[in-house]
Order: sequence, then structure tokens, then C-alpha cells
Amino acid sequence: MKIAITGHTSGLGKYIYDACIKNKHDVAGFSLTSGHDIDNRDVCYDIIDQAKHMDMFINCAYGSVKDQYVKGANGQIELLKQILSAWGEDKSKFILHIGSKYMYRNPQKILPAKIYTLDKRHAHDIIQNSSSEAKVFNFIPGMFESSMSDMWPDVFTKSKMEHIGDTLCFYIENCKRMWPQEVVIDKTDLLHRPLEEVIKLGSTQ
Amino acid sequence: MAKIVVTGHDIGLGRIAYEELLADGHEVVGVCRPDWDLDSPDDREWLVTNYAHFDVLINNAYELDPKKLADPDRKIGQIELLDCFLREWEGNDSKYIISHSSKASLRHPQKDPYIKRYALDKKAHDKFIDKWLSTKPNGPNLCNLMIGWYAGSHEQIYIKQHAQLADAVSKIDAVSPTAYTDLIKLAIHNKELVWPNVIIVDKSDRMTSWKTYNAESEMARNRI
Repeated sequence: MKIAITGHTSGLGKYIYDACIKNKHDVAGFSLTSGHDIDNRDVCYDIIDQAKHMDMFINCAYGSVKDQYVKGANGQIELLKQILSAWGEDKSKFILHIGSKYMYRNPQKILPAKIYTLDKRHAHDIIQNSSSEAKVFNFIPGMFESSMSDMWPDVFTKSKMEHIGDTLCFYIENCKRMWPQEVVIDKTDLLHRPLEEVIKLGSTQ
Repeated sequence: MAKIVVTGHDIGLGRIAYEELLADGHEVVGVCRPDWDLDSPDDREWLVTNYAHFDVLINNAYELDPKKLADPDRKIGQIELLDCFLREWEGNDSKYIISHSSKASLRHPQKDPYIKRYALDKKAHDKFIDKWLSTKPNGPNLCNLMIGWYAGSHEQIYIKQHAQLADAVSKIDAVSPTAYTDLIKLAIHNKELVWPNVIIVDKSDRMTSWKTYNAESEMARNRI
């Protein structure tokens, strides 16, 4: 299968990229370190153009957190809009968007967390209002160990990258048998705990 | 290896999940008619009493009695059983429940009274889970598995009773039930690491856009 993935040089994107290569897929990666700044709209157009013959687009990179929240300004959202537009009438295409369980939270007081939450919620709304014929899967994990989550307070406990990544790879490998529209997943013992308790748990570790 | 109880293990997805989990080496117990009746409060209580020490409940069985279709006081056995286990396992995060729902709950109720009742029952199931999850309990871990048609769906009792419907369902290019059981096996295998709250899944060729679902839900609200 031909797969395009953003953010393939770090975090979950790298984990999936490496797994897809190992599983003999033809994978094209686009990340900041390979010269693709997704916060630049023209770069997004270029990525979408390069991905036009691919079977699957994995919208993993988040883009940068801005100084203030501007709805729809994040690179991941721009790419989501563009890929839905480009592949919207093609039933054979798979789109995998990486969301976050943080979208269910009330926007946090910490500005980067607030922007992240609102961006993930906005992307979710775009998917929910999409009439795309392509097969869109919104994967919604809780916090897991990654370079991205390092910027959040270290009192939070997180899932292991490989546990989230392996689950996602299972869905990618089985995409012809079945394909989810939505999966919400988290570290087992954090699933239902209130935020205050999660912080308390982390601080005792 | 986990101790797992599967309801409705005599047919369809329940049977395949039961057989495959058993083959994987889990300790699996199945309950089904005629020995065990989902709609009987005594039988539900018996199951909770005897299997509360198990690790996993696969809440698969669902029954639709044609005689009770229009009964406003009708209880949905699958939800009642889920409620029993949630109360028994409340606050226990080492317990796991996979409760089978359907993508039919996302659609507007069909004209066929059976399919309409089925969709509304599954919608009630999903609402019950959403409400429970919103209370932020510390356990058990609950997964709402919302699936599309699977090959063999037409063998379900309430579909079998209607030849025309069964015939139509049998012709659907549906997901292999082993694909769904692979999902269940994955969740159980990783249960102490990561756990899915919600899985909405279907054959990739049979996916419907969210916009369509949302529009249909709106239609459903207007029709009911």
C-alpha cells in the first residue's frame, strides 16, 4: 500500500512510519526536519500534490502552537481540509487523522494546552461535518509518551508510545478487512479518573 | 490469560468470539438460551453472582421479542445486564466490559419495525454508556463496540424470522466476523496497558460520512 504520513521523524509519526516500512508499505514522509513546514499553506498544497497517487494519508503532525488561538490556523487542520477536498470524491482512499482525547476537556488555563484542545476539537468538527466519500478515521488517543507530550507538565502519567502505535498499526494493516470511523483509547487506569486524581497519581510516581 | 464470560455464545459473533478466545487459552464461559435467559432478571442476577470474579464480560447477547415490540415498559435485557455488572464492578479498574452495539444506532430508524426497534435499542445502549462514562467512575473499563453488518448477521434470530430481510442481509458484502473478534482479542490482550472506550468500525467499503449520519439523526429526531 502507498502511504503518505506527516510528522514521520518524531513521536507517533515516526513509530508508524517505521512500522509501515517494516511491513513493506511504500511510505512517503513529510516533516519539518525534512523541509515540510505544514504551517505554511503552500507546503500543505505541495504535500497533498505529492500524495495524490497514495492510498492512505496519515495526518499525524500537529503543527506549531501559535501565540494565540486562531480557529483553523494550525497546519494539521489545513492539511485535513485540503486532503478532504482533494480526496473527497474518491471512495478508494483512506484518511487517518490523529486527534486527541484532550478535545473532550474544558479548554485549559495554560495557553498552549488551550490552543491544542481547541484545535483538536475543531478538527473533530470538520470530520463530523464532512461529506467525504474517502474513508476517514479519527483516532483519538489520550496522552502518551512523545516529544509533543513532553511539553505538558510531567505530573501526568502517560501511555507508552508502542501501545498506542501498535494499536494504530493493527488498524492500518487491517484496513481492507475493516476500517474504523472513530476509536477513543487511553492508558487503562486513567480512562475514567478525574483530572485532579490523574495529577495526584503522577506526582506520587 | 483472562477469565471471560460471553453472553449469546451459541450464534453469530458471540459464538466466534467464544471459540477464538477459548482457542487462545483464555478461561471462557458462555451463556445462552435455553439455559440462560437475558430477559430474566433472575438469570441476569445469577450471572453477576456467579461470575463477578471473572475479569471480562463480553455483553454480546441482544434479544428482540416480536410480541414486545410495542410494549412501552419493555426492558432491554442487554442494557439491564450491563447495568448489573457496572454496579457489581463499580470502582474496580481491573474489570473490563466490551458491550456490543451497532452502527445502526447512528442512522435514522428504518421503516421495518424490527430494524427500527433494533436501532432504537442500540441507541439507548449507547446513551446509557455515554451517561455512565460521564460520571467519571474509577472502573470498570468499558468499551462500546459499534459495528456494522458482519457476514452471518442474517442468522440472528430476529432477522431469521423475516425471510425477505434475512435474504437482503445475507447479500450484504459485510465484515468477516473474525475481523471483529480480532479487535476484541487485541483489546483483551492489551487490556492492562491501553483500553478503547469507543470503537466505531465497519467494512471500509460500507462507510458512511458523518455528515450523512448527522443528517439522518436529525431526520430521526423529527420523525420520532
